[in-house]
Amino acid sequence: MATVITASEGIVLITVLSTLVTFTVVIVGGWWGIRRLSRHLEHLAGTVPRTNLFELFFMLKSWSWREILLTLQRSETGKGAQHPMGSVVTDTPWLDQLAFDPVTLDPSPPVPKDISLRVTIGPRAKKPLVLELPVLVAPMGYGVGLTAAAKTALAQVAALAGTATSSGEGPFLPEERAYAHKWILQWSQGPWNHQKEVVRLADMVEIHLGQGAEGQIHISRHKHLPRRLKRMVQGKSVVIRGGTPPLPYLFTHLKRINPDIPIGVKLIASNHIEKDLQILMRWPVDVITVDGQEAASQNSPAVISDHFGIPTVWAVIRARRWLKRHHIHHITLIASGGVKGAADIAKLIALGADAVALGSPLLLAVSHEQLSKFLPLSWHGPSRLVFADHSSHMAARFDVGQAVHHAVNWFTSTADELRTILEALGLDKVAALNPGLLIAKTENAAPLLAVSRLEVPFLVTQLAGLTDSYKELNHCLLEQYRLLRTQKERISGA
Amino acid sequence: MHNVVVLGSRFGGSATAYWLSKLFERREITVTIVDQWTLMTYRPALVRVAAGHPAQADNWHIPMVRRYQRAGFRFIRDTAYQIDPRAQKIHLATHPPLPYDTVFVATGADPAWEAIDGLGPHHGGVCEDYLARQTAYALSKTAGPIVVGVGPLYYSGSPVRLRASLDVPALEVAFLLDAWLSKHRRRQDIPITVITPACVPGESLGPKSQAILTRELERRQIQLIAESKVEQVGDSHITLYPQRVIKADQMIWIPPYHGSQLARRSGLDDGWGWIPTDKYCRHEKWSNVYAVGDINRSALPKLGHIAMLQAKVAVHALWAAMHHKSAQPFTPFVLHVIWTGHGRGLFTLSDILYGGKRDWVYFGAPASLAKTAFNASYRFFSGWMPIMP
Ligand SMILES: Cc1cc2nc3c(=O)[nH]c(=O)nc-3n(C[C@H](O)[C@H](O)[C@H](O)COP(=O)(O)OP(=O)(O)OC[C@H]3O[C@@H](n4cnc5c(N)ncnc54)[C@H](O)[C@@H]3O)c2cc1C
Repeated sequence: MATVITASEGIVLITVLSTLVTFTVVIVGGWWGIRRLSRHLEHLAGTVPRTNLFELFFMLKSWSWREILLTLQRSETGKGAQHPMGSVVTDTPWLDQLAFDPVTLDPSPPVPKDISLRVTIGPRAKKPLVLELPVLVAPMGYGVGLTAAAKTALAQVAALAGTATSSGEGPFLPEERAYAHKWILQWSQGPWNHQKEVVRLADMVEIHLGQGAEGQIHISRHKHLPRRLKRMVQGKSVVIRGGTPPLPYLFTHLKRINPDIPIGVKLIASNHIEKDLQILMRWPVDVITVDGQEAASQNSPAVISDHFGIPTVWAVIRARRWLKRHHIHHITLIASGGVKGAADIAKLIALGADAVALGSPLLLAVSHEQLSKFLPLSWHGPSRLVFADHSSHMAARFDVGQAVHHAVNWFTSTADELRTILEALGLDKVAALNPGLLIAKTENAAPLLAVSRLEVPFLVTQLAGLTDSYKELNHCLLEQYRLLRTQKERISGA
Repeated sequence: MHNVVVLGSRFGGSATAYWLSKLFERREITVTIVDQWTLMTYRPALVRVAAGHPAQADNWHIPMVRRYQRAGFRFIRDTAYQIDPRAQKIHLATHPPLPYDTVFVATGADPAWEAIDGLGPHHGGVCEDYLARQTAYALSKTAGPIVVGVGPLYYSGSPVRLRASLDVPALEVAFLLDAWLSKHRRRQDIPITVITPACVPGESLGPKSQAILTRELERRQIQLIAESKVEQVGDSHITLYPQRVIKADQMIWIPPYHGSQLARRSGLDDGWGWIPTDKYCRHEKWSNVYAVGDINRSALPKLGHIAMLQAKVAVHALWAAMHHKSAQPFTPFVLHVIWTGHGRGLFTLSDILYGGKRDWVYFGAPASLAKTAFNASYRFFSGWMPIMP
């Protein structure tokens, strides 16, 4: 019996057959292509990899993605390369090589009930800063770093988290001051914020002596500056001077204007940090922030960010050791640079910091759930949402409410995690953290603990103090002698 | 030309600017308005934001600058640090000193969180956009008791006697929360308590409203702890004097009011941080300094309606002085609507607080609608409504 195929059945048959043929062609073609490619690759692998694809393999072995991208940037712009988000040359993640020693049977302290995270910054000042947790919003300047919306969001976050935020090196932003419950003015060498009124509005002043990611170099910005900022400097570019500001004058000046608040300094974590500390002790310093090599800034010169300074953890250990050795207990030590979360914070406090300032994790938190809106259409990185140097249409997309919500969540969970750490250590306050609670997981990290636990014998302390005083006296005498000589020479010349 | 400066740009400042534009010819005066925000946060709507509607916070930012510019006024975004009445200058944080012939101070009251041990904005609040928004977000996770706290009002205490900084928004939040939690079937697990130093709920309203509020609180099982003295606030508890501890999973605070730092720094205050004025809202000592709204000692209770009334009185007084006419003095009365949730509201028009006899009250849906309509028109006209109170 002959089978009659209807028109519709014919179409279905043809479709199925053509799909089968296409499938077979793709499979066979793919197989053939792969075979050809592998043969070609095999052949390439046997040749000298000077001009072929395998060069990339050798390049990536000796070059990191960082160096390649920076090189490409240099060739594109003709300027010194820059990158955000902190140093990428942190071969030794020091803090990850440390762990806490949990309480077990011995010692077996009672389970802590009310765990307090409260810290007092600058306890000697008449009006110290009392924070609900030992975490501050790191200085990030309006206009030169962040947008007004991002700054406003961070000020709200700080108020809601019970901590302080800082002006950073940028100009005064009235909204930021209005929202922040506790506001730190960073005294930079920029052309602003030096009015008496601004100093009096501050709850603390921090003199900016440089930062881990930028050293003490000058900073100039001339692209995409907010209109308000341009109006303030009455020009198109902004220059923040480098070098050390006149410290003796500054301390007297600031103390005269606002005598009750703590005065701090932000120091680069250098290999001669002890010398810096010794010099600073000549003035009424209440707070010292050490900014480690891992620290980030909006656009740090790569050569500095990646190749200058010592790691935050070492700076903290050395600074605390020096302060202890000199029986200086009234100075608050703040650590900043490369800190990512509660575990890092607790470890740094155990090693000698009183509090920790963070920037990058907070920028991530405020950007959360805001990038998907424009990611498929643009190549911009997440920081584009909060960094000041962008075209204005991007800033409009930043939802302050959502940003604050997420960053407050970050603070709440960090506080919870800090409490969990303290509970597991049997402690009821954050100030009780100490190096004795840490374990070195690697041989590499062992010196960290060895140095921080080093008990300094009384005689050594006295001797060290005496040597320091002697050095200072000697320095003064030499200075006077030099002055006298120059005067004498001038008189005889006349 | 007479040089007028207005400090602050919310209820008081914006109404002052409105009356300046209405009463004076452009060639008569120059007007400069100073505020630290270019957007006005409309506070009466924040109670609704806090009660479960975080996304609404941004709806209540009203742009003011264009409105001022259209009236020929100048706007400066800055923080006023100090008024020097002798030199007739205002010291701003980042602008050069601003000279004036007449200044209207409408910078409100500073929240005095630090007046209660342990208290801070991190405990939760409703008085600013970010506080209301965060309270709303936090409420979505709250599983335990909610406490709405009201701080004390620090002032000389006469002639009008009030104890709480501002208890009406606190009651409003409590009612709206009750309604919101009921709607989401969570109310039975979450007790709500209002803690206030006032003796009765709605202390600034008349006795009729107070009776309705007391009844309504009872009916809806919102506990009221009146005449309370808060000793200390912790992360999840409040200690009252003497030795009573209230647990709180979530707190919402109207902070204590302690006057204004600006008034203190300028030596213009009465020793309590408030600016003492005559019945034309003119400073008792400096006749070219007017105080309008919350910062004025006689603005009691600290309500937007009083601020608007004072702005009208003060600008008319200046106009009268410049045109050799007589002016109307400030005659206070309370005009207020409390949203009580479920589409109802409590309307009060009363001068009992000031020794008068008027006490009109209405409780029902039209009152709630009236408040919603007023808020919407305030936002639509950026505070300069066709009919101003
Ligand atoms: C939650 C809540 C709900 C409320 N609900 C109602 C209601 O339903 N009805 C009602 O009538 N009232 C209500 N009020 C009260 C009302 O909001 C206030 O009485 C009113 O805002 C007072 O207005 P003001 O202009 O005097 O001061 P504020 O509103 O405090 O405004 C002061 C302005 O001055 C600015 N400022 C302050 N200091 C400086 C400075 N140094 N430099 C520059 N600028 C400065 C501020 O940025 C602000 O814009 C409510 C209040 C709250 C907190």
